[in-house]
Amino acid sequence: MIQLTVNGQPVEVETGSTILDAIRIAGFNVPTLCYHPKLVPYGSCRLCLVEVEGARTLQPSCVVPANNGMIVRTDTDRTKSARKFILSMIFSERNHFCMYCQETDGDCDLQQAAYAENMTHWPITPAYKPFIVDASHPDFILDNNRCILCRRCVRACTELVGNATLGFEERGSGSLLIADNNVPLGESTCISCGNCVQFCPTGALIDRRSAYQGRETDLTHVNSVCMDCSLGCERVVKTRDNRLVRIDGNPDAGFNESLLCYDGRYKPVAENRKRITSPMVRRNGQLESITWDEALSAISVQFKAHDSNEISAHISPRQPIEALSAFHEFFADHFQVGQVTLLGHDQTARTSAKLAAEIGAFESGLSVLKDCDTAIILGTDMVKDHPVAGFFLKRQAMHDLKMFIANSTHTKVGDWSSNKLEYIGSDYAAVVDLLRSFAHREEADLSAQLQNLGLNPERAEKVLGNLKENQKLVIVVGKEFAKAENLPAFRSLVQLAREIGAKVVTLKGKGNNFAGALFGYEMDAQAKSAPVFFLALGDGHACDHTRDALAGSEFKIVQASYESAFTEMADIVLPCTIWDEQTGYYLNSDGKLGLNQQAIQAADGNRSVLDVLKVLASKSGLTLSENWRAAIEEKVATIVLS
Amino acid sequence: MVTQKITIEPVTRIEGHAKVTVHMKEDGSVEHAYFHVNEFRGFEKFCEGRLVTEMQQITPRICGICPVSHHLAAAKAGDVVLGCPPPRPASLLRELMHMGQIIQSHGMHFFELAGPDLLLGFDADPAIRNVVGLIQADPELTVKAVRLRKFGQAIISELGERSIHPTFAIPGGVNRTLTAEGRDRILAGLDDQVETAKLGIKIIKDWVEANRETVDKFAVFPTGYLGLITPSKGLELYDGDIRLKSRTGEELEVFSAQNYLDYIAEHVEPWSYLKFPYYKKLGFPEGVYRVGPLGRLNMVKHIETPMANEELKVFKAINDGAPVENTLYYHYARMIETLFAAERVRVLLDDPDILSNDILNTHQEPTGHGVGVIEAPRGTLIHDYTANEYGQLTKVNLIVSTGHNNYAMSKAVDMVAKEYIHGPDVKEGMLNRVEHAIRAHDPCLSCSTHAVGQMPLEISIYDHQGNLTQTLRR
Amino acid sequence: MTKPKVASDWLAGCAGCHMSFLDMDERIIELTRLVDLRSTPITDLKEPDASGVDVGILEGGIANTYNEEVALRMRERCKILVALGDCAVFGGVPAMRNFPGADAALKRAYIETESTDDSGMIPNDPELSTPVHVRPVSDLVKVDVFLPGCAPSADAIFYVLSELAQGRMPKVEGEFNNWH
Repeated sequence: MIQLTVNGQPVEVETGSTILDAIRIAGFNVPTLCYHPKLVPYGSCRLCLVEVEGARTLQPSCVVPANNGMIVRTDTDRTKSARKFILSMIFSERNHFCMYCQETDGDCDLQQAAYAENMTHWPITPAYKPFIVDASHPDFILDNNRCILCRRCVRACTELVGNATLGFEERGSGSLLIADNNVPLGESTCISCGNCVQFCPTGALIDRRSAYQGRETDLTHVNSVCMDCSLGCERVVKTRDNRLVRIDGNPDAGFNESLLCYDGRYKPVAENRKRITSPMVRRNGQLESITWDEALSAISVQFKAHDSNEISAHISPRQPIEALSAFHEFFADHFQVGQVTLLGHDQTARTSAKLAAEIGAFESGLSVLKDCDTAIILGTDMVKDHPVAGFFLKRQAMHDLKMFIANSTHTKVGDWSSNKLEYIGSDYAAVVDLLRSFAHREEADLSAQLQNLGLNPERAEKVLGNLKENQKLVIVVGKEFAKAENLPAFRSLVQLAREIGAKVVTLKGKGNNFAGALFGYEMDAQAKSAPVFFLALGDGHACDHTRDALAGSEFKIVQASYESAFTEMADIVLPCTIWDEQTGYYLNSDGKLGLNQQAIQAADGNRSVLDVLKVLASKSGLTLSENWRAAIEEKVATIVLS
Repeated sequence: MVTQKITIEPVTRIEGHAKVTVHMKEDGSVEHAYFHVNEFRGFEKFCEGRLVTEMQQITPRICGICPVSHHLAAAKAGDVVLGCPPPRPASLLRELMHMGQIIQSHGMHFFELAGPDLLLGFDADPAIRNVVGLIQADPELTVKAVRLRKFGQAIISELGERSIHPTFAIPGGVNRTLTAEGRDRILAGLDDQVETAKLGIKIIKDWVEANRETVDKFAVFPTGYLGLITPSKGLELYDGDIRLKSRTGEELEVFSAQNYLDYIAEHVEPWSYLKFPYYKKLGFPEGVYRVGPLGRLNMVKHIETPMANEELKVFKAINDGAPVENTLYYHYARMIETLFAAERVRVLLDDPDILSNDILNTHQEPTGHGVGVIEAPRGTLIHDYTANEYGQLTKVNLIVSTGHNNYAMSKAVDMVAKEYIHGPDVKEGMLNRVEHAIRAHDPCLSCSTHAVGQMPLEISIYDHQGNLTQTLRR
Repeated sequence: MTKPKVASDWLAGCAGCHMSFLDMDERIIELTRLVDLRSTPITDLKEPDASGVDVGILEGGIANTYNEEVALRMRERCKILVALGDCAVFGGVPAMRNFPGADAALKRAYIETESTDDSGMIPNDPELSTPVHVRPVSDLVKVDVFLPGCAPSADAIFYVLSELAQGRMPKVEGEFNNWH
């Protein structure tokens, strides 16, 4: 611990803390612009300058380490005048027209900093040199005129996301924020995760869709969970007048450290499909609006008119656990209908659960991805299917992370790595054998195995040469590897991991796949046509097989939020809430339960899958159980290591 | 021939910078008077490269008197450029804000800018011929006038948080709903303002009666008349087709704002930063027309609110149904419109959709080009934007309300100068009448040149050799 | 005690700050008890008294030769000069003309615009002012009180004027310091 004095007050901080940390722990504050708690301190803006007794010059508190016996002062004439001078220089450098900026009136750190210093004007007139506005990106706009060169966006893009799209060209006051080698953002390597926008302290990076829809304080903030993939990133859904305005990463919760991907941040806001507003029935070939009572009665009639095995029921994993539980209970347990499936093709959760049942819990939580020295990534395109997990590896790939990637197609997760071995193919059994040979230095087999897989021996040696000695070896498993037919390879892999102390992380596909697997849903079982086909699509999509199965069925019931090819052919359409219109639980890959809070009130006419099931159940004289939680938690404990 | 020149600079109690030069003949009569708009800002150029979505905030800075007009015209142009027509409740809310602006702007002009001339007299001492003088002369009326303007401003701030340069309309709709409490706050003050509008109408009617001779010789001349109309050709201030009537009152055209370039062109004179719009088919200057309250009431068939429609009938009877050409009737028309706006506020607030939260269409199908038109207090306002595929503006053209009246103001200045100025001993009151020829139009020169200004008054009289012989200043 | 004389004028701005002044509503009557309003754009005296005023207020930035004249005259004739609003304080939106420059802006407005006919030309009558590089008032003359805002609130304007009227220098901070 280090002891120092801030503004006359003694304070004790951890070794390695900065002066800024000490100032804040002591209960004081200095303004900052380039500093961000999630980023490596950079010290470029100099706004956090403080007086340190004995130091010749003012010290940037965000980068200078706290030392024993330091005497720090934050609010002296010298620091105040320095802050004003720094702000004057920043304002004079570019073109800050606050009056029409989206960030004005509360949302701009720069403006707030000026207010805090009681600045009423800029002592230095700007040069009025125009800077480039890059509006080529569909989700956000880059206005170099409002850039203060703090590089928070560049650092977020590189340090946190590991994408390194953003950078600067030129030097000094002519510095320009650019993408790649100065190509338009919309044509760059940008993956549209929007984290740069969230980290920008001014109006230099502006979210297109939410611009001018209200200041932060005008918006209602709802903490909720993203359910697009199996990571369960914590996010803040921002609404105004019951309208979805913007989604940001939650800086205070979740393994995602305030980061989101495109699907989490922009997809719900960019949603352009047409909502269904009323229950509909097909009469004389046309869909006509009917009441909920009529629609639900018509469904009940169909259920009663058919044997259980003539009914098939399918639900999207984009539903809360409560709905998955009720759906399974209603169709599988009570009615024992012909087929009850979870839509989608990712069997990871189910295969993994099966394996765990056999050999005991083996999975590690997602946070092990943040700090590893070797990553073995088998059968998953992380950047595409679980982007935020991909960020954690990509950003380490820029340093000395060793990566072995096996997938049927090239994936981008290792693009920045100079320590990478990549196998493109699907012979995962051979891949696991190879790993075993490396781990146990079974030299005799190695060259043949490498040759068989088409891998460069020298590079393989570099990446996998001392597997056993690795302290932080992580094996990531995804959908290609974790297919049911690869169970033996999976078993062998987990045994190997146990032998060499590697952590295993499984990425479990879309939405509530994990919970679905625990309820015993059939997964990736091709849907079959049936006399009555019940499809709870919600706000999700389904594949062509499902569409064909629906088409071949006699009576088609589709519960959906949006118009689609599925609703077009349905006999009954039930308008359904979307994820952000309902409160419900979500189980992520880690086995952590997250509660999604309703952010928007659905328009009249929409009902959730769960509410509809409850009505259908009562029509059949059933009461659905709501006690899913204990069973889920118990099962998770048998799969994920605590 | 000896020519003298008088300069009136700046012209006051108008919005913007202008001056008047009066060229005089040897015999002390006026040869010609020019209305110079003396300022230029360049919005058409410097908005290039900015985003369509920023224009709702940039262009109101053209004019702080009617910022809402630019705010809404920019939003309407944005609706078309980005292909996102607003839901009905959003249009109602935008119109409500616009009515607030009509009330505040018309109210302020009638009582606080033109009022001193009408109520204290053209020849009153310029030191007291202003709103402060009015406070002293008739405090009760002044308080009513202040409250009328306040009511309009309060509607704007109820919706857009601020009365000047609000943030409310965005392409596709508006960014906040009206609450039931907000609606009730507005409704609570409405009856009093209807009464003040009626009082204004009475004041101007009485004034016209008492000053019949002045009204009939003060800048009376024919022009065309142009403005927006409802589908049944009634008075419309927020959205509709544009109707153009001839100087004799026949309908010449009804067209969509999107096609304005087929009908309207602008002429440039070297002596003014304000261009001269005209009807293309008749050319310049035959095709000139008037906009604003007088232009609109001459152009419409009826008004769709009952009290204002009754007044319109009286107005239409002034010239037996033919267009009313007297410049001073602008004041009368302005008060009828104020009454309309107050009545319209009630219609809008009574609409069940006004509290809806269906206020923004986020589904965009960009077209790359769009024209936004609105009837600003001073007349038809046109914003014409062309954007690239990213919504960045490549071309901006603005034809602003006061611009349409440029010819009329120049003509009125010339006529009034000729009527009232007689040298060599030029009295201040004569010059104030020349200013009033401009003031009656309630020009907004900041708007019209997208520059700002004012019209204080200084008159310099030069002899034919260009020597200064007399300077008059107020 | 005689009431302090106040004069105001507007330069390259939008009149919004003067409108915000009017947004004081009934308080204007109170203000006229505190100060003697002399030349303003909404009154009829054309320029500040040659004998001087106590407080001069300028809205808008300097955008042409006429603005320069008015600003210099105001400075010369007032004891305390207030820069009112973002344009006077910072240059504001009109200062965006500095990017393309006045010449390009004039060319666009009077020659190139789609609605301009063959008569298009840049107005050049000697009666007209000449555009200059747009800048804040303080770039040309000394400013004593900066009141930023687009527009500054009526409360802020009332506060500044009533403080000045009572012989105190206003402190523009907190809610009164809002640039928008």
